[in-house]
Amino acid sequence: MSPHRAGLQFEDQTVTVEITRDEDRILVRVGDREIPVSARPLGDGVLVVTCGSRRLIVHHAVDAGVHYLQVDGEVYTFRHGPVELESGAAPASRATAHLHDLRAPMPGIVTHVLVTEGQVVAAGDPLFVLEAMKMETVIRAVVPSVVTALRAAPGERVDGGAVVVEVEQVAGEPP
Amino acid sequence: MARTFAKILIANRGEIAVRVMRACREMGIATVAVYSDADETAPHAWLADEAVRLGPAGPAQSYLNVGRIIDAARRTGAQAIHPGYGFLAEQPGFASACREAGIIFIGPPAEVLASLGDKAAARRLADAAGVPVVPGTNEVAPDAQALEQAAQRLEFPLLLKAAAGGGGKGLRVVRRANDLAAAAESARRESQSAFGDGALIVERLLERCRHVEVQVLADAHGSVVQLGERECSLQRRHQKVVEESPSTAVDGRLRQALGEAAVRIAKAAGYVNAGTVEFLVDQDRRFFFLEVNTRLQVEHPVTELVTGIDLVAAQIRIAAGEPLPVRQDKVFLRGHALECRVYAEDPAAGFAPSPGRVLRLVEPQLPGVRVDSGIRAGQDIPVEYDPILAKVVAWAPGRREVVRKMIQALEEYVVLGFHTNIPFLRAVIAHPAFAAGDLSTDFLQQHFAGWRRPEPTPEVWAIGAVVSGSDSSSHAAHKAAAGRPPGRRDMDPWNRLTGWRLG
Repeated sequence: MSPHRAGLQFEDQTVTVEITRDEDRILVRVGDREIPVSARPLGDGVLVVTCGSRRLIVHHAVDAGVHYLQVDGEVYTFRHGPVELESGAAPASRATAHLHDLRAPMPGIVTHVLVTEGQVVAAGDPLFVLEAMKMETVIRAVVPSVVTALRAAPGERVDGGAVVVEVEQVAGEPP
Repeated sequence: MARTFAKILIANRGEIAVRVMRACREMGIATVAVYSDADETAPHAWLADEAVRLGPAGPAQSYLNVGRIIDAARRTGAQAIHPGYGFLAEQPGFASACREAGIIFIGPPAEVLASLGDKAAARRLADAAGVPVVPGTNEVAPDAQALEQAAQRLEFPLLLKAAAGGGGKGLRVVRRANDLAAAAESARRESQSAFGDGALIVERLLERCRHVEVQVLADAHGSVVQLGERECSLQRRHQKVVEESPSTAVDGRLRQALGEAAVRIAKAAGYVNAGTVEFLVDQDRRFFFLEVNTRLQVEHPVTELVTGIDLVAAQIRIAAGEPLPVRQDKVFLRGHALECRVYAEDPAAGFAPSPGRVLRLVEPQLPGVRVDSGIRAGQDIPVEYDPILAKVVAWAPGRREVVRKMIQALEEYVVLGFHTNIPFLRAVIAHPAFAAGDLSTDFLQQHFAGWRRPEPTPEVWAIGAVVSGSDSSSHAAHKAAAGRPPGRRDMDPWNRLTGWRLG
């Protein structure tokens, strides 16, 4: 059977693997390693995995495209990602930041919005305060910018990744 | 065994509410839970015999709402209220509201909560009892000017503390005079929001010390015993992470001295019920009084495991007017106990809170391991409350064995769906410096600053590919999903962190 290529993301790394399915086992090529893996589900969310010469209990859960795996006491979160054209492990690709969106780094409650629309802010100026699990986080401007819109009011509960303050970088300033 | 109360209301949530309910069950006492809208299906709300809704998720409208809690106790006929820790546990106003309603507050009298809850007053009390105190102010600093004067008198680095504080809230380390004003404002705001009181005291920050505390029990008849020490030096953001008893820094003589100092302070304060006297111990084994925690501590189980005394049961009996369950000459510390606090947080991102849904949960089951847990599979961990999920507590005859047992327990502990500190905890207690008992309040900063999750090995990538079904079917599903706008869980904010800085 011809190998199937798949992209896998862990944090900011993306790796392309080649999967070949035999009758009773799977061969996974990761970089220049070819690793035989067999997985037998034991019930909901737990599998016995044989990987090379090792036998492991692996816990697995998936939510909205994120796969959570516990292997040997460590937890890994994987997503499916883009497939590289060349075979072998792809180099780590860093996600780029959206400088124009100042987002809530986690779900929480916006306790203070410290800027107003049209305000010019310097790098390091506090923009808003988010409280999650009784901890305050101050989100600051990274580059000199002008505030173009406020998307959440104090007291509002926001999801992780929600835009709270929209800014536009002030032209001519190096980031 | 005479029954103390017929019914107790537990004015708390999470693991501590569950812990208290279990003690009540053992004692044949009926339990009443209270819950907010965020906790309607949380374990504590289901475990109790009755459950009363308090209100919306916000603490002010739920677990901090004295009126609604007293009302719930009245309506259900609860004779006593156990406050757990946090929330209303140390609020004199709550204790007196209970008294006025004819309900027993399971904790110290309101007057004792008031005098010891004021950190400045507690310092004065320890001073008067002849116990050494951390250099600092014995009065709250009323304004910025007073703060500055106090700062000049002490030496930097300083520690600003909410006079009414606890649990690491309203604390700020100040290393330079220039940072004092901003730190004070931020500490005031945080303590105002957490405790409804923005008053601050200043202490010199003693570094490379050990945090050692002594558990005391006092009955309403004037007897006080101390149940040995707990070492809680491993802290992040001034919140404890790993605790043990006995402490590797305490020998018989120091134990005796700490115990006597704790009992002296408890007696001077007119203390009743369970309390903890906190000290810093420096490298020369000198100790300094820090504060008294007028509640059951998160880390109380390590004392329970080495003394064999159930502290929650003792609290209930003391509140019912019974004499102390044990005499001082019958208190022995046996073996070694270790506790790890499991938090919903990301240790690789500055311990940022990490709320989410529990997708999979497997708690360790080993001989000598106890898990005090407040979560269940399928539960959404709310953003409104503390990130503590559970405590893992282990006991063994010796420290080396208990560390090994804990490593095993943490390896078997599965919480999937968001970041927890479980892998971090395992790395911490597996560290050679921890094994050597070489601890200080700077330990985590010193050995684990910038800690990162291990990257997947080729084997783990391979397992990830197979288990996540990187085969055609699910990959097609992924491609289909790629077209739709990202939802809450599709977004990994940490991938975008370059755009922000966390202050």
